[in-house]
Amino acid sequence: MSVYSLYVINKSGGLIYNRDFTEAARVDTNDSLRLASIWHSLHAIAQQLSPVPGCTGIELLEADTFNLHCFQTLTGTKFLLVVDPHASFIPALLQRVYELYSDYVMKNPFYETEQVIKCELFDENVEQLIRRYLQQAM
Amino acid sequence: MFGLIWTLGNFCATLDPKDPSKPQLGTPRKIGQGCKFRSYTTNNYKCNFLEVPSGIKLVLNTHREAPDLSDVLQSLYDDIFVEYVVKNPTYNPGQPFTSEQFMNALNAFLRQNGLLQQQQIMQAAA
Repeated sequence: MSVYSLYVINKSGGLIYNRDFTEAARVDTNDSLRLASIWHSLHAIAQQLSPVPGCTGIELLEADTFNLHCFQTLTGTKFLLVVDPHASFIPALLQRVYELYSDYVMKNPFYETEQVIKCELFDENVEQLIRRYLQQAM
Repeated sequence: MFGLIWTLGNFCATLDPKDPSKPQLGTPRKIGQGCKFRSYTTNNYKCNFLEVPSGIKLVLNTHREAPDLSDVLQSLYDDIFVEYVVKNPTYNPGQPFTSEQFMNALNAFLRQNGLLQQQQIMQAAA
């Protein structure tokens, strides 16, 4: 029941925030940049491939050992969370991460949109949120 | 679609948090190696996927609320594809095929599983 990592992708597909919560989930920096861009494209292709109209992209990817949840905001920013397949209430968790983002990143006057996120308060609060979530899940 | 499926496979193998020897992104990946991608869900459809050891990939697009269909896909492959396509002497592996028996068996199977409703598309891509 664990959260492995969090990625935030800007609207052009570039990785602006990457946080691994366990050692096992560590991905090479170059690889994480490429993974983010690949995800951005896959999200768009899945939208095009939809057999019914009105698709807004991939929300959940299920694999053998992990699930990947994606939350897309109205501005095109994507929040990805790689979690254990048995984790629950992840959409709500993603929503909370988005709230933290809008509080500590967007309202930071020194932050330029679409750039890499380097806000300490955001880091701390995300850490606290995930820790609290994991404790509740135990 | 093939590009999407293939990339998703590589993507999952690289992101796998439990594999100590996972491949670097971009290295060629053998069939069945690494964490396997099973399905993805969007806001209005769900794409279920199975890759069998021979490389044949089964893609089933369903309604979003569909449960885990990996068993369904596996039995679809075992009972229907192998029966009616692989065992067909006129089948050329890797080529597109049309087989009425396959279509009929497929429809019956899906109907039996309660899966056949208005919008269902099933493609088997080699």
